[in-house]
Amino acid sequence: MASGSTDPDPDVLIIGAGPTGAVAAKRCAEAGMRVVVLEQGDWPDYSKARADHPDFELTAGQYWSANPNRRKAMADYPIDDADSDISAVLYNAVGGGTVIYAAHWQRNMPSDFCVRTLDGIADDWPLTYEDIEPFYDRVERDFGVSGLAGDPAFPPGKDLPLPPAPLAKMGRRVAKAHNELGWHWWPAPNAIATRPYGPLGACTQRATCMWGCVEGAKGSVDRTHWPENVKRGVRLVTGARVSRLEVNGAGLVTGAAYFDRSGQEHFPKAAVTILGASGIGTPRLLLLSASARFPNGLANSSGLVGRRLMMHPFGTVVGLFEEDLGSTHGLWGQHIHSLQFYETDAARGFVRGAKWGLQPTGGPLSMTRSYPWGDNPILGPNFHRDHCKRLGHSAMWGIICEDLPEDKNRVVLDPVLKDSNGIPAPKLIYRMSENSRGLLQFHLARACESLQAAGAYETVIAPLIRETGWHLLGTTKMGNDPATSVVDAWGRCHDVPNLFVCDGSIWPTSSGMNPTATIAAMALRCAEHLVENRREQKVAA
Amino acid sequence: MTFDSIERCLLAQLADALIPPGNGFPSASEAGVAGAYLDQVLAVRADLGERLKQILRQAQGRSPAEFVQALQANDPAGFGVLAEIVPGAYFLNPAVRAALQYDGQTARAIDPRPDHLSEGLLRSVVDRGPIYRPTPGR
Repeated sequence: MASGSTDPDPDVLIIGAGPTGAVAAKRCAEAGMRVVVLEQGDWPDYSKARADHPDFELTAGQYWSANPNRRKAMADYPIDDADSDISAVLYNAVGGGTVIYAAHWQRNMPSDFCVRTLDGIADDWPLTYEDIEPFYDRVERDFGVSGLAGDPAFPPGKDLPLPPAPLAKMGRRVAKAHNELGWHWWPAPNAIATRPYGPLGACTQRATCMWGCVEGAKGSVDRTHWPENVKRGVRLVTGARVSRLEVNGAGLVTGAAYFDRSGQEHFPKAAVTILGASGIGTPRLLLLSASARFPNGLANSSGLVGRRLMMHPFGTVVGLFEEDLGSTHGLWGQHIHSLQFYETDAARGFVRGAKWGLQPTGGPLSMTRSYPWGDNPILGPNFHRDHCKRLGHSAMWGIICEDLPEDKNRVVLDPVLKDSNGIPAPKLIYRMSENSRGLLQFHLARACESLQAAGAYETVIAPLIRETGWHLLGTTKMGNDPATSVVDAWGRCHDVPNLFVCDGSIWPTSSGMNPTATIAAMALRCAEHLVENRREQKVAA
Repeated sequence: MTFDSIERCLLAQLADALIPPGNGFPSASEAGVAGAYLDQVLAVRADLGERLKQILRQAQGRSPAEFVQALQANDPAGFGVLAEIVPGAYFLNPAVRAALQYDGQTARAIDPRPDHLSEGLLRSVVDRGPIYRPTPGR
């Protein structure tokens, strides 16, 4: 609640209007709780979505750029990534990362929750696949997920609310090849409506999902959750940049301090506070909230706030085909996925694995760029021949590699860099591990074999590029032991019982999946627990 | 930002080194890359204009092909600007798009008939059985 308001203090203050905040706000509001949400960005401006304009490829990377250091919008804070192998990409707006995500909707596998037990490394989660499964079922309905039940890469489950996207020519080719190889594939799950669904329109396969879906078919929470949340009474404050959390003498959080767009500071209070500000924004805020009582940052008696940053090294392999695959269009998004090499095989020389998603390659300008085409420049004497070989005749596997947690990979406060309100910016210190490098190389080689088996006469391994840190995980670890974790299995901070973290920060391990499905399911699980136990919940007086 | 006729002439020469005529397609300059389509690009990508001006100043008096090669080798960021503007402008030309049989990221409704059911494609995947490791003890 902003200062000056006569409204009563809310029961719940949520920081961040991305998927975590959207899901948590929905559940708390459904239970009759008063909810206020602070979001530093604004509503996405879909008038800037230009998928149906000739200049789409030229303009897509501007307003819809995923890199805040490049986008430099008013709502963005800078991120010092000079000491990181990967740049973080995120979106500060109502909808958060879902505004720009590709909407690959991947549940984690059972083994992702018990990596220590099964592979003798890293940590187990304090919950199992079976614990989270009912919450997956619920959020999949809220996000309008399309796909096909029965995937043998997962335990049997319920049908998804919408039928899968077409395999398309590219998917059929690869599917047949995988059947000959004996490799897994399945029609891919996407948070993309294949038919009209609630507030979502039907996808029209423009392959522009990450740069402003003009049909409104992508299940981003600015469309699936926020309009309904606001109707339900949730107070969503945009342009609210939180600078710190306030703590009382009893060590409970009383609320937050934030700057509005004019630079005026406000001090809303609440009984309970939930952080959903991403694997960078959340630890930044905890570190910014250091005090005499919490000299190393709020909720940081373990010393783990900001540590164990995981960002999923990302690889891409493109195949060139004689056949016109129509691959300027499709879902971006994924048409099929493969989890053939997801589980650990010690003989490979590394642990854990990766998920593959098959995508189109886009329009004519995309065929000329260094990503994904790497050092295969086509500008020059053979331009037209080579361009025609690519346009519509190429398909690509995107490969999400599991990243293991390491204390040395971390988010800290930058000693120099500040945002436009003078608040210290986050600094990333991250190096890709040998395990991740080995894993990525293995998967790139197998993905080449996949596309060759599907008929590709040439494969191109994309160069590793920095701007692939879409998945920001691990920086406020969840666990049962306060000495080795920041939050418990319900997202409650061990040190501060009325402060919850429910975003991807809390993941003990990263899985090798796109994380939004599990972020949303965990947010719902945490919110449900908060609702069910609200009478016993400690609150600031 | 505006570009005079000398700058446009220089850009046309550099652009033709990147996109020469061939395979039934016009060269970059023939397609108007240094004319109206440059203006269209800069209207939506004003961020590229200043760097382009610098590049054109550097290119004066140099062989276009050699300059482009040197730029690519020694100044990848500068080359990146040229490599965005030239094909970006080229593909705005409707005649080029027509020759490519590319009409933009147009809407193509999803066929409601599922294409994963034919040819028994999924049968062998299902027959191979589960590929996940279950939760221990389950």
